[in-house]
Formats: sequence, structure tokens, C-alpha cells
Amino acid sequence: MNPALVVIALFLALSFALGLLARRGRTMSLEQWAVGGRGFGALFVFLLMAGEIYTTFTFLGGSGWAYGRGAPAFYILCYGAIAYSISYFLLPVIWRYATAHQLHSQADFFVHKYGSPALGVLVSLVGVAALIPYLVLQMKGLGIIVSETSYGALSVPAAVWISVAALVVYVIISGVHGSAWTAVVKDIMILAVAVALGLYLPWRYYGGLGPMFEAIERARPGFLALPAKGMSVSWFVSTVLLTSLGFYMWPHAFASTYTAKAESVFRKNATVMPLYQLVLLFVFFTGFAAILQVPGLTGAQADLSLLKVSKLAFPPLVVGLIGAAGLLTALVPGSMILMTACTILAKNVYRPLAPRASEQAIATLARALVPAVALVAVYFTLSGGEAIVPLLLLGYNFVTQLFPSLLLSLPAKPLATPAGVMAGIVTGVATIAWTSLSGTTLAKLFPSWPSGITDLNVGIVAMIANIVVLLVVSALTRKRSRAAATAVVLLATLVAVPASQATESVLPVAGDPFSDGMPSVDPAGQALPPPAPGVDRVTPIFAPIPFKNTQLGWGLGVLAGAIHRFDADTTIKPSTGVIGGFYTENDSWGLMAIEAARLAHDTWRLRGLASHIDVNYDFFGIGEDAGNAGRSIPLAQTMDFGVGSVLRRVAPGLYVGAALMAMGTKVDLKSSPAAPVPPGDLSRATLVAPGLQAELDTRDDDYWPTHGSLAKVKGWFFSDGLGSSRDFQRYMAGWCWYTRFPERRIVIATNANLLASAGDVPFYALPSVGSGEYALRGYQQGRYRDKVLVGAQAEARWHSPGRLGATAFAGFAQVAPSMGELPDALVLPAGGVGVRYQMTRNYPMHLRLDYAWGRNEGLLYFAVAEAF
Amino acid sequence: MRRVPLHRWLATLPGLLILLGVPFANRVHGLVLGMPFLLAWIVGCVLLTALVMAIVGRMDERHAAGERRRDAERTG
Repeated sequence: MNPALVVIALFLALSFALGLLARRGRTMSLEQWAVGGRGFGALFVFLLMAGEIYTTFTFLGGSGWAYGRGAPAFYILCYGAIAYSISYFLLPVIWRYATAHQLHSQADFFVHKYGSPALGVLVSLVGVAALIPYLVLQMKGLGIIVSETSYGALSVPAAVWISVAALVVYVIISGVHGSAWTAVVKDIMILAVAVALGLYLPWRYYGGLGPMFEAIERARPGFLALPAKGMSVSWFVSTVLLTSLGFYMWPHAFASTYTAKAESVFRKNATVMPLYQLVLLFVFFTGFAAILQVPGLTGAQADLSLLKVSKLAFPPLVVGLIGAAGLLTALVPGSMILMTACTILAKNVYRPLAPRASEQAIATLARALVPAVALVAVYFTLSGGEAIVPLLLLGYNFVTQLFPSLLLSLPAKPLATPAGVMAGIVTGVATIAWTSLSGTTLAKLFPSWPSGITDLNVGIVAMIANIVVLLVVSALTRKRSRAAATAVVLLATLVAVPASQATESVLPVAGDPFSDGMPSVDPAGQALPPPAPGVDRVTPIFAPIPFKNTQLGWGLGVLAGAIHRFDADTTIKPSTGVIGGFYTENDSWGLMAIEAARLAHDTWRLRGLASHIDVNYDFFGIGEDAGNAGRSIPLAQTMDFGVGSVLRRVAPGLYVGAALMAMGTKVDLKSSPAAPVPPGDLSRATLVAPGLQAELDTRDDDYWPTHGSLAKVKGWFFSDGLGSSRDFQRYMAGWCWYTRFPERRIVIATNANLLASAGDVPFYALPSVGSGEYALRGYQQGRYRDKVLVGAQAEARWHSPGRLGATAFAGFAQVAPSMGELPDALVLPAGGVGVRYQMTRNYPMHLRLDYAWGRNEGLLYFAVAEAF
Repeated sequence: MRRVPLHRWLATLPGLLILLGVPFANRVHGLVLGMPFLLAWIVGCVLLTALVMAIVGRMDERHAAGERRRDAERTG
């Protein structure tokens, strides 16, 4: 073992010992574990806050960015100063309220202010989402330190695993007292090391600061000023603004303000902390000194620059001390972050959902989550190639979305409604998630716009969307101004509709009859009439249903039929029989007849369907690359099909049964055949398949479920033995789960599903994104299709006491040629917002207007009934 | 609502100098204490923040003391 590793191991042992000492003689409640009582004086609050703010991010990330990016790194110096001047006014207000109400966490503050437990859960989830990249960057840093100071003895993954083990052990033995003591050692060390490196290296290699910067300017002119494009002045200013607003929105930073003894602490800190900020300067000097001494580190490698140049300049023993300072700098905030994330998940996410859980159970859960959350972070650490600074910027973009809601909560009576605040936060966070997952930037979206606008940090766009949605939904949910707000929404819709690049979209509604035992024959989704309990023996229905489909365009469907009963018992849900037809703007049309019968007290469910459909749509090819390319050819498909199924109740809510599908179809090219249609699929085909299906339905309602779940499993076996011209199988497993926050009139709906096919599958029977039962909104139906598909989505649904509702949703899907290739498949993110209008007073069936963004475009949806 | 005391606006100065000043300070030459001009500008702003917040804190204390005296006179 080399001397550097020995020194680092000694410091690790020291920090463990300090953690154990601090804990001795105390029994730890969760409150002590997380907040450390309220007895810390100004010095400790100072050190705690400094300990959290000075992290691997500044030590390795700061020097790495100075090395790799130059002047843009200076933003790190700016935002702290602005945040402290804001803190002078903001923190005393938060502290007074938190102390008066005995609050422990950031979520508690929002819950109390807005009187909404659901908001607390949301704020907590945003906090945890932001903490993960923050934790990942600490682990990256730890891994870099351990592997670099081992002089090649340990690989980075090995070093990361060792570091994580150390972090988890440290958190479990110490709690917050350990952090406070180790923070003392750490702050002294990091100060000494950073100042020494920052002064010594420029002097040793260049003879001083001035000569160093002149040498860099000669070698790389303009590197020390902001570039004209990319990380330009407008990027810099927008980033400084966002990060300074987000500074205290971190759940741990927010909650640590509660530990202050008195308000005066914050006033003092506002003066002292900016000075402390200047330590960063020396870290920059170190990064700059490395540029000409250890050249050639590119991308995320730049994070190694501080240690590489240290190894060049010093013997291993000194490198060990530098590494030890780095270790503590990752360990102290890393432990705080890990602990905070676990405490939040246990106390602010799990407890509201399980109100009867004991204090003991919550504390145990918090501790049990430590290794689990650490493993999630390890996964991202080892799989992602991000440098340290972009990781923190991502975290900042998440937490900053809480700032508008915090600001509006400060007056005695909050200026926004809980629904507005939640909608705003979800919108902001979804925008961030979407842009970071898909790598979208303003410059990519609007290449022709001036760089002054396209260089803006994308967080600004998310923030604007957040604020707009927050204000509109708040206005909507306040009774008096509802009319005005409705006008705003309509106006916004009018603006958004022409902006959609997808109005000429196109695939058949019924083009995916395979995902569903009952093909989704109704163009409007599942717009069967409401089987309301308590109706007469026969109720005639007639409904014109306008809709907007991503492949077929706008259309009109008409249903006529009857809700009827085979049972005299009116508490049983009734049966439905309808005939219907539709026609759309792209000349597609269809006719169908459906009967869904419930017999013998709903012990038996019989369904039958017959239809003829003639649709025009665009075919994009098979596989994610074909979807990404976005090239398509127009096709026309004719289908005649019939399906019948028999399901028997085997336990309350659980139905199991068999089905048979038969179909004749023909696909025709509408233009030149220079296209990727599998040639065999173009001929006429007869498809016959027996099927098996099971469903477990515990939902309270078919159309606006507020609790319960719906699980479905289906398999279709197309077989030439039965006269089918193609031999293949098609499987589907789907699960929807609903829960509600009754006092807030909010329902959270989630859905996950897996579609798979095997054998000689014609393209139109392949699973595709955006079609079928639980279609992901945001993708043109059928643009992404392949043999296997997974998808998941979540939706927050809010309903006014009247007929209006609003939703926000997000999800993703992946397609791949086989199960094994799913983990590597492109993630297709989607998210959007929608408004609802309840069509009948007594039954929660809604007109649905959604606008959803996917990877490639934004799409408008209009239909009856929910998406899932 | 009580009016914001005038001296508190002083606290916005360093932030404005960063957010609005950086576009004009974005150059390398004119090294100050060996640092590129942009960096020196930012360091100056950070130092100014500490100074300004100290001044605002002091004036707030004096302001609060004055309010207390006035309240005492009014009730006494």
C-alpha cells in the first residue's frame, strides 16, 4: 500500500471515530438524527452550513471546470454571494415560522403553509430527485480521489464501491453529530489545502498568478473570458440567477436553517459567508495551473486535474493529505445528502401514505433506506459519463423549481393555491427532466434564434413554464376569478394549437388491436357509455364524439346503443351494447358493433366485437432508429375483424378467461415503394388467434378512478394450425394504480406496462408507442415500434368541485427488438398537461384536452375519457 | 404593510453588479492583482457583498432600536 492511501485510510478511521464519539451516551430519535436538536450555536451552524456548501463539487468540480471550461467556472463564485444577500431577508422569515410551528423538514414548511399533505410529498420527491445527482457527484469525487491516490492500484469502479461502503458505514454510525465534528476537521483541512495549492502551484510553475494567466492567455486566447456562443454571457447570467435562487431550496440547506439558535445567526452569516466563498478562488487557481502542466484531460476527465497536478508537484505523502481533505469534503456533505434523502423518503413520502406507522418504524425505514439509496447513486455514478459541475447544475435546476412556490407562501395567507403550486412544480420539473433526458437545448429547438436567447440556461424556460402554470391554475382554483382564468386557458390553447408541428399527424386507432383483448375500436379512446349503477333496465344512448388522433387527425365518432341489464339487481354494473362509426380528416373511416355483457351478478363477462376499418396512416419503419429518423411513408390498411371473449370471476375482482380473434387485413402503399415496409406484410393476410386473459380490477370507477388498481395480462397465439397466414404470439401485461388526496381533490394515477411479441410478426401487430390501451401521449402513434415495448406513466388529476379538471402527466417508453436489449434502448420521455370538462353532471365522464411533448414534437389530444 | 427601509435596497447592489455588470466586464486584459479582469470583477463583487451586508445589518440594528424607542415613547 502506498503512503497516500495509508494517510487517507487514517483520516477515514478518524472520521469514523469522531462519529462514534459524538453518538456515545445518546439515544437517537429521528429528530436528533436529522436535525441534531436545536442547540447548536452560531459557530456550529456556520460550520454545518459551510460543510454542506463546500463539497467535492468545489474541490474537484471547481478546479475541473476552471481547467476544462475556463471563465464559465466563475459562476460558482457568484451565486453564493447573491444567495447570501437574499438569505439575509429570506431565512429569518423561514426560521421564525419553522420554530413557531416546530417544523423539521422542508416539506413540513410547504405542508403547513399551503395546508396540503400532497404538496409535501411532491416537494419531498423533487428534493430527493435533486439530491441524487448531488450524491452521485460526491461519489464520483470520492472514486476519483481513492483511485488517483492509489497510483493505479485501484480502478475507478473499485474505488467507487469502497467509497460507498465508507459513506454508508459513516452515515449509519454517526448521524448529524458526527457530521458536525468531522466538519470542523474538514473545514480546517480544506481551507489549508486549497489555499496552499492555489498559491504554491502558480508560483512554482509560472512564478506567480499574473505570469500564469498571461501564459494561459497566450496559449489559449479568450479562454479566461466568456465565449461569444455556448457558455456565453447570457448562459452565465441566467445560471447565476437560477442557482442563487435555488441555493436554499435544497432540502438539507433549507432544513439546516431550522438548527439556528437565533435569527441573528443569519444576519451574521450574510456578512461572513461571502468571504468564505473566496476559498473557491484558490481552487480555480489550481485548475488553471494544471492547464499547461497536465494537458490533454478532456470532458469529464477534467475533474482529475487537481489530483493529477498535485501528483506531479508533490511526494505521495502530501498527495495523501490532499486526498484526505478531498475525502472529508465528500464524506461530510455526502453523508448529509444521503441521510437527508433517506429521512425525506421515510418521513415525508412514506408517512403521509401510511399515517399509522410508528415513529420507530419510520426511523428504522430511514436507516434501512441508506444502503438502498446509496446503491441507486452507485448505479448512476458508474453508468453516467457526466462531469461533476453539470451534475450539480441538474440538481439545481430541479430544486430551483420550488422557489416560486416558496416565495408566494411567505405572506400570512399564501398567494397561490395548493393545486396551482403543485401544477407549477410538476410542470417545471417535467420540463427539466425532459430536456436533460432527451438532451434538448434551446439552441437545438430554435436554431435560428439569436444565441443571446438560445444560450440561456434551460432552467429559465422551466421556471417560466412553472410560474405560468402556477398562476393560471391558482387563478382557476380560486372561485372568483375562474371565468377570467378559463379565458386565459382557452387563449393559451389557441396559441398552442398552431404551434404544434404535428397537426398533419396520422396511425389507425384500431391499428393496434393486439394490445387489448377488446381492440380499442373506438377512435375516441375507450368511450363506451357510462355503466352507471342504478339506471333503468334499458337506457338508450346516442353520443357524437369529436376526437383528435396523432395519426388520423381530427375526426368525429358517433355511437348509438343501449345500456341494459341481464340482472334485476341494479347494484351490479350494467351491460352495454353499441354500434358506432367514425370519419376523420385524413379520409379514414370505420364501423363497429360491440356488446359487453355482465351475466349472473357479474360472475360472467362476455364481450363481442365486429368491425370494418379503413385507415390511412404513416409508417415509420421498425426499431428506435427508424423512429428517430422520422421518415415515413403513407399506407392504407383495411381490416375486418371480430373478437369474442368469455371471462369468469374466480375471486372478488379477479376475472380469468379465454378469447378468440379473427381478422382479415390488407396493407397498400399509397406512394412509390422505396420504403422499409416488410414486403411480406403488404399482401392480404388472415390472422386467427386464440387468447388467454386475466384481469384484477379493484377500481372504484371505470372512468375517473380515485383508488384501487387494475391489472391485466393477455396473450394471443396466432397459429397457422388454425388457418392464420402468420405464426406469432403477442403478450401484454399492464397495471394501473390510483390513489387520492380527498381533501385536495387530487388523484394520482400511475400505469406501467410491458408488451411483447415473438415469431413472424407483421409490422402492424408490433407493439408501438402511443397506441393501444395505455398509450403514452407525446408520440405519434406507431412512430416507434418494435418487438418489445415497456412504458410507464404517472398523472396527477385535479378536479374542481364543479365540472372542471386539470392534469399533468409524465412518462416514458422504450422499444427494442428483444427483452435483453431493453436496458440499452433509447428512453423516450414524454410529459404534458391537460384540461378536463365533465360532460354529465352525475357521472365523471370527461372531455379530455391534452397537450403532450415527446422527444420529437408536441402533440394535441382530444378525446372522451382518461388515457388510463 | 410597513415600508421597506431605504437602506435595505443597498443589499441588491452586489447582485446587480454581477448580473448586469458581467456583460461589460467580460474581458481578460487589464489584469488586476494578476487575475483576468472578469475574475477580478467578480471577486470585487463578492467582497462588496460582505461589506454591504455588514452595513445593512448595522443599519437594521439601528433602525430596529429606533423603532423600539419610538414604540416605547408612544406607549409611555
